[in-house]
Amino acid sequence: MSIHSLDPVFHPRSVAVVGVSSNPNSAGMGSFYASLLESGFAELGGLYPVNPKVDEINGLPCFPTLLDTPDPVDHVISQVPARFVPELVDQCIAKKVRSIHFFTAGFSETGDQDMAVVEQQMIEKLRLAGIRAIGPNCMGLYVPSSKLAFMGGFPMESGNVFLLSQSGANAGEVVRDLTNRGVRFSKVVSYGNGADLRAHDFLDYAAQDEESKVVAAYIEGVQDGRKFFEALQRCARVKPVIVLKGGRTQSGSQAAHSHTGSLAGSIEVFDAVCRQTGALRAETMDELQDLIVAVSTNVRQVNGRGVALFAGGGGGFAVLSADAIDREGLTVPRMPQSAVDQMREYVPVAGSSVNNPIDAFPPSEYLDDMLRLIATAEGMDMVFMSPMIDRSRWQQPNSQDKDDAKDGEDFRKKVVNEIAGQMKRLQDDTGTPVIGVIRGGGMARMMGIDSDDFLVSTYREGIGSFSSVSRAARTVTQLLQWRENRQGLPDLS
Amino acid sequence: MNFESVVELAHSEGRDLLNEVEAKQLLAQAGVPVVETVLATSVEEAKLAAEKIGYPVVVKVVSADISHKSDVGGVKIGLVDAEEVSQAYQAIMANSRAAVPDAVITGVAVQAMASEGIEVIIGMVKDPQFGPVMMFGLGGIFVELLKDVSFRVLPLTERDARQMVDDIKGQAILDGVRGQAPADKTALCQLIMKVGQFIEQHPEIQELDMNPVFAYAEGAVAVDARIVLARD
Repeated sequence: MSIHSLDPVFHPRSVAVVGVSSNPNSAGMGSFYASLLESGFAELGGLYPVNPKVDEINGLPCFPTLLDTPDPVDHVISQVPARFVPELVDQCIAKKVRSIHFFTAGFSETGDQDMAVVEQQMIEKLRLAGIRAIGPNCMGLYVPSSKLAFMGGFPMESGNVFLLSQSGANAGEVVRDLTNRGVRFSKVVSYGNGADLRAHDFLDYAAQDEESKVVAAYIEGVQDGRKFFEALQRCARVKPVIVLKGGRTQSGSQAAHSHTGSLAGSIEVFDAVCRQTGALRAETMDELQDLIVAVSTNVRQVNGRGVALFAGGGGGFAVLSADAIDREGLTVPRMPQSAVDQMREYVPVAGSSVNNPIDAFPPSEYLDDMLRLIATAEGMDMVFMSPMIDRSRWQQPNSQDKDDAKDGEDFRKKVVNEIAGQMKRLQDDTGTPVIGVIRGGGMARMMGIDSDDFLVSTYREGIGSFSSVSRAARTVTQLLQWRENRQGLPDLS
Repeated sequence: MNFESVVELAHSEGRDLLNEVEAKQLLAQAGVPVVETVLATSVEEAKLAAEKIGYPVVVKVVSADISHKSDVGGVKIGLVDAEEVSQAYQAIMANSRAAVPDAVITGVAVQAMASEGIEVIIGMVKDPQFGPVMMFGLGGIFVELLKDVSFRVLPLTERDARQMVDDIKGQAILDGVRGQAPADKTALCQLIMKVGQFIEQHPEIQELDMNPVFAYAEGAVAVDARIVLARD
C-alpha cells in the first residue's frame, strides 16, 4: 500500500477538541466532542476536550489548554472564536500536531480583506511547521475506519465512496441520504474555505486511495482552476468522479468583446471541464446521489437503451412511466409477440397489459417465468422493476414467516430481502441488469413495503434502485452518455 | 508583420482590438486556413489587391469604431472586376462616414470571396478560473441566439477537438441539409488544434473569434477573424 502525505490527516491517532462546550450532549452543528464520543473514537485513541472554563465532562477530565493535554496530539479541532485562533495556531506548532480542522468561521468567507490576510498568514505559519489545515469554516472529517465523525448518527461501517464538499451542510445531507440507501463511505471531508487543503488536494488523495472506488464532489467556488482541472483529470482517469457544481453563474468574469466571450458562461465552461476530464456532472443533489448509487451498482453494466418496465401501478402509471423513459432518451420496446402469447397463458387479458410496460401481476407460481421472459425478450437491455408482493403474503404468512413474524418489522425486512435476492438471481440468470424503482409514500405503504428497506436491500445485492421511473431513466442515460464521452480515456468498466 | 510588432502598433494606438486584416494575417502566418486578406488605403491599392488575390473579391471597411459592418453598408461582396472594386470602395467610404461620422477609418479589407460552406464559429476566451478556453459551434449571425456551442480547456488533445465537433446538437446541420455537402470534420478538428496552438504561443490574446468559418466537403477556411488583446 503506497503512502500519501495526507494519510495522517485521515488517520489521526489522537484528537483534541479545543473550545468544547460544557455540555457534551449539546445538539447542533459543531459539537464535535459529542460526535466523536458517539463514533467511538476514544476506543481507538486519545480524545481530549479543551476548555479552560470546564473541569470535566461526564466524569472525564477537560484540559485548560492544548498544551496541557497528553502527548501526542495528532489532530486538533478548533471550535474557538476567530480571535483565539492565532494563539491556538502557536500552541499547535508547539504541540507538534499533524493536522488542524478549523470549524471556526469569520475568515476569508466573510469578504473581509483583513481576515483573509489573517487566514493566509496562519496557514503559512502552519505549513512551515509541517501542519496541514482543513477549513476554516467547515465540518471537517468523517472517516469510519478511523472512527471520526462530524455529526451524530453516521454509521461506523466503512465503504468505498469518497466525498469532498465545500459545504458542511451538504456533506451531512449526502451522508445521511445515501446512508439510508445503503451506501457507505471511505472518507468524507468538508473543507470550507480551503485556505490550505482544497479540492485538488483531495482529488489527488482520492485518486490513489485504494479504499475509495467512487469519488464525489460538491464544489461552489473553484480555487486554482488549473490545479483543479489537472487533479480532476488525473482522478477521473482512474475512477468514476461525480461533481455537483453549486452556483451556475459566477460573477467576476470580465466584459466580453466577442461571441465566444459572451457565450462562455461559468457553468458552460465547468461543464466542459467535466466532459473533457471524463467526470460526470450532476445538476442537483438528487442527481449526485442517484449517480453515486449508479456507479457503485449494476447500473454501470447497462449496455443499451431498451427498458422492460415491470413496475405495476396501473395503466395510467404505465403510460406516464413510458413517457418519462422516452423523455430521458431511453426506449420502451414492444414485447415480442411470442413473449406476449406466453404471458397470456396465465395473465388474463382484462385489466392488464403485457406489451411493455407490463401492467400485470401473475399468480405467484408463474412470477419467475414471467420475469425471465421479460428480461430475455428481444430489445430489452434492462428491466425496471418495482417490488410487488402478493398481499395475501401479509395476510396469510406461511409457517416460516409466522416464526419470523414475532417481530413484525423484521418479517417485512425479510420479505424485502427476498425480493432483492430474486432481482439479483434474475439478473445473474439472464445477464440483463435489473434496476429497482420504488415510489415512496402511499404506493409503497399500500404494499406494506418500506421504501428505505427496499433501497438498502437492493443496494446490498449490487442493484441500483431509484425513487421514480424518471430518476432511474435519467440516471441510466447519464451513465450511457458518460461511457460514450469517455472514449479515448481508460476504460473504467 | 510579426505578432510583436502588430501588438506594439495596437498598443501605441491605444487599442486592444486587432483589426480584421491584422487578425487574419497573423492566423495565416500560423498556418491557419484563412481567406487571403489585404489592407488597402486607396482605390488604387484596393484594385491592385483584388488583382493579386483574384476575383471575385469582397471589400469591407476597416475601422475600430465600426463593428457591424454590413449594418452600415460597409460590406460589398461578389466584385468581379476593377471597376466594381472601385465603385465598392467609394460606396463603402461614403456609407461608413454617413453612418458613423466620427469613425477613424483605417482603410478597407480586400479578401477572396469564399464559396458558401457550412457556417461554424471557432473561438477562444480566457476564463478567469481555467485560463484559455476554446469554443466551437454553429456559426453565422444567429450564434448567440442558438448557443449550440461546445467548449474545451487548453491544451487540447485530438479527443478534445473531435468531441467539440461531435458535441454540437445540430449535427444534422454539420452533416449537410438540403443538398449541402457535409462538413469535413477532420479539417475542422485540425483547424481547432491549429488555433489552439496559436493561442498557446501568444498568451497576450484575451479573446478570439473566427466567425464564420466555412466548412466544405474537403477543408475549411476562416472568412472573418477578431482578436482582442489582454489589457495590461
